[in-house]
Amino acid sequence: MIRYILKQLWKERKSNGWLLAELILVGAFIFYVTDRFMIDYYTYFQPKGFDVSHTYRIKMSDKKEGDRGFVEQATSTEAEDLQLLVQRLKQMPEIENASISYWSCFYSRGNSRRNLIADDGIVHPASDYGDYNYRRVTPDFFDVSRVYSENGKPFDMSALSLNNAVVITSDIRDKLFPDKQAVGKTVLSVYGTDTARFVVAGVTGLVRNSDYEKADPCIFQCLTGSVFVANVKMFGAANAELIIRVKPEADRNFRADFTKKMGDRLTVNNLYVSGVEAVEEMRNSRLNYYWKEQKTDLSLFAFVLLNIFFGIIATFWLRTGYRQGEMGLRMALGSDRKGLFSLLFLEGLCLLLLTIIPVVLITINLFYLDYMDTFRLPFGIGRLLTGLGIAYLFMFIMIALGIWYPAQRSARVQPAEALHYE
Amino acid sequence: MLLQYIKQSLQILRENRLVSIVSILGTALAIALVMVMFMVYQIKTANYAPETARDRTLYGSVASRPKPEMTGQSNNTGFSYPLIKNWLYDLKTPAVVAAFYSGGESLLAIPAKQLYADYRVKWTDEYFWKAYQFRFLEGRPFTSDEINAGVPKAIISEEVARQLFHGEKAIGQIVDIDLKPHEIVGVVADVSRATGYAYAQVWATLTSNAEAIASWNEDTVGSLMLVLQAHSKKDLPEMQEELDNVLKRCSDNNLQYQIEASTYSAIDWIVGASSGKYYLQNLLIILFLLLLPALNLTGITMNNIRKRSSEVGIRKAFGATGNTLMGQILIENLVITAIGALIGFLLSFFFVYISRSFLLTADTMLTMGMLFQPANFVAAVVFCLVMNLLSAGVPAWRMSRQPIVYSLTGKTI
Repeated sequence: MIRYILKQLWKERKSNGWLLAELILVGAFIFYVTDRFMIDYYTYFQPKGFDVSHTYRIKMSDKKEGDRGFVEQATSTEAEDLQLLVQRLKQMPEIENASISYWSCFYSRGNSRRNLIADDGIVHPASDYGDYNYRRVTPDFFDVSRVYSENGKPFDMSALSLNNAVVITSDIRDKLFPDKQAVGKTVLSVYGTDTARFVVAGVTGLVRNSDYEKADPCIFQCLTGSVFVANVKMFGAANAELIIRVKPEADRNFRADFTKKMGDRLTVNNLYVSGVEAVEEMRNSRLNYYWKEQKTDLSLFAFVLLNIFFGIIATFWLRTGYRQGEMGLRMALGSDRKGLFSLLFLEGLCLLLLTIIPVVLITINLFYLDYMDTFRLPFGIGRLLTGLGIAYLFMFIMIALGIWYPAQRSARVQPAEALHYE
Repeated sequence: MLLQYIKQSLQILRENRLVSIVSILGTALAIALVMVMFMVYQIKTANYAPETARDRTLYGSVASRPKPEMTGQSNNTGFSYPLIKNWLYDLKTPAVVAAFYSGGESLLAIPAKQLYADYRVKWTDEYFWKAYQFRFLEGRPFTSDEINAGVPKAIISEEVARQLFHGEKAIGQIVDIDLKPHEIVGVVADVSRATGYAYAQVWATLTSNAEAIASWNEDTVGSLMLVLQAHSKKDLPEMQEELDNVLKRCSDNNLQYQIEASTYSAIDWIVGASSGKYYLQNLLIILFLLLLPALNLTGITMNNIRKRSSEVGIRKAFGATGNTLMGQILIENLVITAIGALIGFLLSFFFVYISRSFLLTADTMLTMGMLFQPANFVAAVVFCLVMNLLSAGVPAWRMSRQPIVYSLTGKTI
């Protein structure tokens, strides 16, 4: 049977050749797109290490000379103003907690980086120092953004309030402390000629920067006491990230209500709240890039599938047209409709199977030439097979749809009529 | 003769409706997608209001670093207002030198009305309004006196005017932008986000915003975007040269810092550092999109030719040359591709419309000026011809080379 079909395909090689070329091209393309989608989804459903639902970022500004309500001579420092503002926010009934940070808010575009090494008295080569995401946060940040200890429990606040406390992600811990015992140990960071020493106060699980990115090792420095004051002095109170967590039951129309209410209450000397943005909105605008790419890919995906459908339906329509005689003969000799139907169907299937080897060769080359994303998920046979499986499932559906109509027509023809054509 | 081919082609189309519909639809979709790509490129780079001079406008940022043997911070950022004011407004080659600061979203408030909302604000100088062609519905642009004195004034878009004043007269009203009262002096027609340099919802005087005119490194760097608009495209290199010279003089004048500008046009921004790679990549995508339906069409054309093999044989026997026959197949096929291309061209407008949120920036307003660019029509015709060659080229070439005997006996090529 198979040999017969192959013979048949060979005989029709003139038009099958073009179809085969198209199927190979499309197969490789669909594999590429499917693989990207798979990696996106795989990454998307990994734990993120934080939770931004019901959190908002409060935007602040400084009043300058000439602004409404400018205070000429303030008696307090910027850090004090900022702390007072946070206190007032925490007292609002709908707000659960609030934190201050610099370049740390999830989904914000800013970030800073710094190196870190275990303070074990050994002189390490420069390559050991690493370059990690560096978040400066008040201890409340862990509660507001739901960054928990590795065992899934909230951190012990008293440990975080110690001077120079840092929290590190487990991937840094594994690198710095092969024995996995990091809490309480000293770590150091070199900046130019300065060396800063910190004490590891806690270890959190892997933390990612966004839903489609893989984990990024991160150091959280706790801003307390004099460290907090120094940071506010260095970076300015208005540039701080003030993040609040709203109680879930109060999180309805929060932004509009808050904007209306904030007026004079949320002004401390020259520091005032100028706006509020849901962190989830920031998330959306950050992920927008991926969503755009996905939609573009999906459009192309639909387009190429449609093309297979068009190609198959047209080719088989013409083919069944001029093979009417053959079909009639088969029927006259006892072949039933179902048999004819499956014959054409198998022809299409064989055509599809013939493309597998070239498509696999192309895809392996795509991996080899580094066109595929091996950063978020390394190459593996499972990944290759899943991608190919999905790609071929889609192509199979299109081929089945494309053959169905012409095959139907040819199987329905009366034998006597079909024999006419001979 | 041409008419004869077209008639014949239409006859073939009628003969096999399913196949014809499929070929035309396939062509239409491919042309539509390719046209969408082209139109998006056009929307990002062509001239239309308010950015009517994209092809002769350069944008600049500045790099400031300590002179040798000096210490200080290196900075690669925007221009400072003093630098633009004292050195660049006097440039000779540009038609317009302008500056603006994109502050992002700011809080707009009318305290008396309990109205607070975030809007996208751009802080501009007076020349900004010469560089871009805004349509003023009311009022006027900023004046030099206002900018020099730092008087807080604002121009708002039609949409903002409607939201803030509900049909009341906007001119003369006071709004607080980040708590600073600004008087509204103009209302302009809404601007699409696709013209990103001109786009904002509210434009305010640059000099009334301390952040916008802040400067560092001996007044060399700040937060401003420099806009240089030449009289014509061929002046661009000369303009660049003049800018470099002036900045060099400025550097010599400075004690501590030397500065250098880097400039780019709207096209440079889209195409990136290596234009060759960008165009090659897109050419390959276009080819891929056209090739798929072309492969379908080739298969179909092969089939059709096989049926008409004897016709071809007779024509050859009576003296038709290979080229004539090749022309015939190409023209016959062109009828299909042309119908497909026309449908595809119309479809592409629809596609751009429904997918504007992911092709361009979300909420991008589409205007006639962006879409009806002459280049779009030319491109559609070119893509149609390419598609025709791709799909009928091989069958036509092979048939025209086939020996008469084979054709006459109806043997396949």
